[in-house]
Amino acid sequence: MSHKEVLFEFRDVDFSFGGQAVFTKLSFTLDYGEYLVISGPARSGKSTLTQMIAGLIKPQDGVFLVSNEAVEEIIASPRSLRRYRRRLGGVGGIYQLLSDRTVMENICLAAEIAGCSTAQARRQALSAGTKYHLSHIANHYPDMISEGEKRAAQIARAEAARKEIILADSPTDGLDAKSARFINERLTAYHTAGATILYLTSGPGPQSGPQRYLQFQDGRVVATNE
Amino acid sequence: MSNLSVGMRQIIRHMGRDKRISLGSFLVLAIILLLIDIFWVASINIDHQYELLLQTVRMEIFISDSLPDDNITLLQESLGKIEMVDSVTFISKDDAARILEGELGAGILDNLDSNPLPRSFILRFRGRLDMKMLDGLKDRLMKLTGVEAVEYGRTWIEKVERMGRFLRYGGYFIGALILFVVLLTMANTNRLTARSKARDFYQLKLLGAGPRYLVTPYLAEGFISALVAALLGWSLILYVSEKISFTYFELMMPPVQEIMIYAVLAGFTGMLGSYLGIRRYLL
Repeated sequence: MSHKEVLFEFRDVDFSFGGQAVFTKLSFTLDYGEYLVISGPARSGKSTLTQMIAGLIKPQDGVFLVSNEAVEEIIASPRSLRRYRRRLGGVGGIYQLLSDRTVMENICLAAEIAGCSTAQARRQALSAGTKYHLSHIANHYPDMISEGEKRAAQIARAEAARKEIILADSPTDGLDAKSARFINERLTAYHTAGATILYLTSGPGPQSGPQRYLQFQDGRVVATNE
Repeated sequence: MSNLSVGMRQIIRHMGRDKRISLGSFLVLAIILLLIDIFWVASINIDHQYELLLQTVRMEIFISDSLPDDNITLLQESLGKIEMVDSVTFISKDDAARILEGELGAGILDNLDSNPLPRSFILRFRGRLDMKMLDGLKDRLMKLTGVEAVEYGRTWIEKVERMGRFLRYGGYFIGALILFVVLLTMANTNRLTARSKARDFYQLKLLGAGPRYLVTPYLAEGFISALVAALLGWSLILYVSEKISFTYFELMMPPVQEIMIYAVLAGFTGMLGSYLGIRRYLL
């Protein structure tokens, strides 16, 4: 991962849904290896942003570049889209665990898809599972574990697959303080290890770890700590 | 990279889930394929009986009274040399009279001055016969010196042949129909499964899974289900055929190699059905 290079660049992006504007001239950048928090109230466009970054939707106007490549070009090529998504991991929002696989199988999954051998994926999953205190529930199914454990498993899944980018969509929403602190700590640790983190929240977001904060309102950036 | 082992684990896991849907689909498939098997056995046996029936066909060649007796032997020899002819029997005027009296009663020709019945040859055949061959032979024979008329049960053979054709084409049609039902069954079952797994498909795609990763377990399930269902059907038929004996005919079965090819083809049909069922979720 090379630092100080722009990973995501949103330039005057417009997007509306059902006749209602979600993004209006949205512009911001996220560098490789950066930890950025975007906070904003509900329905301010945070989840739409996650969907756009995941390549599920395209800007209706303006430019969204991923490593200087227009997202439309990535989406147009299934192979490029798969390769891009293999770099992306997520917690919360659109990223969920598969209900019919155990926690360990879920953690292994992304590594397998990324091309690891079964043994390697299992090794990486075991290591991540231990780090995220998930060993005791490794054989549990998602509906048998707490919300905090699910979020931890989602980050562990990304880490086991060596994902470069984490989209954390309200990762601590609905969690008790202890679980929320643990999730934030793990995200910070993963960032320290070199990952790029985009943290979306309706609250203030974690106090330590992130390098930059943006305030979202009505689909545009209204304030920044820079 | 052990794609194969990942794939196998996926397949085993996939077949293990939704057990009721999988079992239901498997049973429906097994019954449909059993219908094909029964139909196949029926066609083979009908075909065999048809061939046996045709083997009883005989052709009667009536000889002109003007042909000298010396030429009869020559004619008999040349008839015997015809490839499809198995045997040639000469029926003299006296033999013909005896046969007629045997059928209609003694003394039927008593009031006649002379025996009006012609001399004839009766040909019996070997190998598979059809109308075209018999018609061609009749034309050839009619050109021979001394041959006055050639008769065989043309109308009867025509009926048998028509029936055979009907059964054969009907068989193709029903076979195609049943295969279509297999396709539909697999497609619908997998569509139902895939619909219930739409959320998982979405998650897998978000993680970067490609169509091959998504489709492999479904294709494997389609193949294995149909293959096993086909083999199960044949096992049942072979078992039952061992237990039942027929008095008037021997039950014919297709060769094992053909059964194996059929089972593999059924497997591929199941695979295609699975693909049709989930292809919309791959996009």
